[in-house]
Amino acid sequence: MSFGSSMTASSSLEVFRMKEKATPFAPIELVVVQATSFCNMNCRYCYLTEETRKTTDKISLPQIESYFSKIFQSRFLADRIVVSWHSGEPLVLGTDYYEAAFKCITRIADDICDSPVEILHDFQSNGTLIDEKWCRFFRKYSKTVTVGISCDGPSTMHDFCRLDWKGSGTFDKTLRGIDLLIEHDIKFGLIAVVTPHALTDPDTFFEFFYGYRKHISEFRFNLLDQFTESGEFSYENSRSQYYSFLKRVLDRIDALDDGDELLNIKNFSYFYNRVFSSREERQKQTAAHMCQPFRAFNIATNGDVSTFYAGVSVDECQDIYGDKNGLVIGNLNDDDLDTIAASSKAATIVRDFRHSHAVCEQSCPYFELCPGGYNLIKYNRYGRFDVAETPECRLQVQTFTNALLDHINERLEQTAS
Amino acid sequence: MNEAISRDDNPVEDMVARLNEAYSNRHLDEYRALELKDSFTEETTCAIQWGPMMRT
Repeated sequence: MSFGSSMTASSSLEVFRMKEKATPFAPIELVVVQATSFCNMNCRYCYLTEETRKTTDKISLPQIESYFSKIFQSRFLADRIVVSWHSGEPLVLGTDYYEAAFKCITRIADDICDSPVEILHDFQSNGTLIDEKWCRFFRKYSKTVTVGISCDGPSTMHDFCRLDWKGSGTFDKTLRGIDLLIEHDIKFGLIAVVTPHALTDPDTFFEFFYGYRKHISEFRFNLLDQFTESGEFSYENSRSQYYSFLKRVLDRIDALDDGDELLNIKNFSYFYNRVFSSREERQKQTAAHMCQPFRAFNIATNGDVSTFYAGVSVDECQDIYGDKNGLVIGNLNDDDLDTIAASSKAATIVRDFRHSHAVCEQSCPYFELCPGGYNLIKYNRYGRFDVAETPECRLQVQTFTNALLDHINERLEQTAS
Repeated sequence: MNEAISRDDNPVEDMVARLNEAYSNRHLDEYRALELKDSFTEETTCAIQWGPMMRT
């Protein structure tokens, strides 16, 4: 079923909302475009295979025109979308590519949509290719473009995993890119992976990123999820290390003077927002809500479409549905969005994920505060979705929740005594 | 340092209710990390889960 291109984006959204209870599909909020999967780096923890990262294929401009025409013509369009250029190093394609792509996407939206659709762009980059030309580009599009840089901390932490193809650390090159952004007064996001070295040295980790607080829009960290079943890097050992790490970072924040600016740590802001919001608001941050199909709409270099998680790659869950195609539910070279939404594979994934979320809801005391959605982790570990708790949950969700709740609680008790 | 609170005695739900009460009564005004609560934005990332885990 299609409402056609004559319908405005806002009225289309109203109709969509009326039907939301009948269909599990959400309006598209985020389009993740893998313009190229090629990367000039070879990070140890990359979820893309080496072969994928060496492929120089890219999405051509005529393909961008075709893909976005299908999006703007669909009934799944929200009145605001973010286009995230991600999964592969997007800057390898150069500024001319994106100048042309931005114009193309804007023109198609103007041609197809009767009422304006706000289009924002975001780059997730390793920062090593940022030069004067890129800075001029970011300045030119500063109202509609944001950039996030992946950096794991000072060189002792960053160079543990973030290597080039010769096996050398990339810290100096990333830092040069960051310095250029600062010179040009361009705010940026920072994303870090917490390596084992960082886990044992939270002060150095915090101080490095705190130093950039005036220049960054937000900071987010992810725990390196390559733990062993036993030994020094086991989940259980890492759990106490992660707990201590988080408590120490919170101590450092709590010790700041009133006039000191905070580092905008998004992990914490998401969590506090969940804790101190109404139950209705909390429902909008559950895994079931965030994993609703089409909310994040991923386009791979070959036109394959996946959804449920932003940026999910075939490489990380290839044979989960027996077709060696991961969560791919269609291809924009052949299918429109209604065809993709009607695929039996999409319906199967929706059913499986609902089942997975329902089991969590029924049995996990952390459910209300859990960003959750570890469906693929459950499947990869146990071969099924109807389990509630995994070692990853215990570490990433329960330990995180315990550390943050305990820290506030201890502060309350201090205040009371 | 160990995870201090036994979740058997203090279920998460009870803890959240207690913290919300403390927050309403302004007992957490001095807790600086809570200022981050108001820096929550969805400008670029939306309320969306990235990757199978919390990858961004």
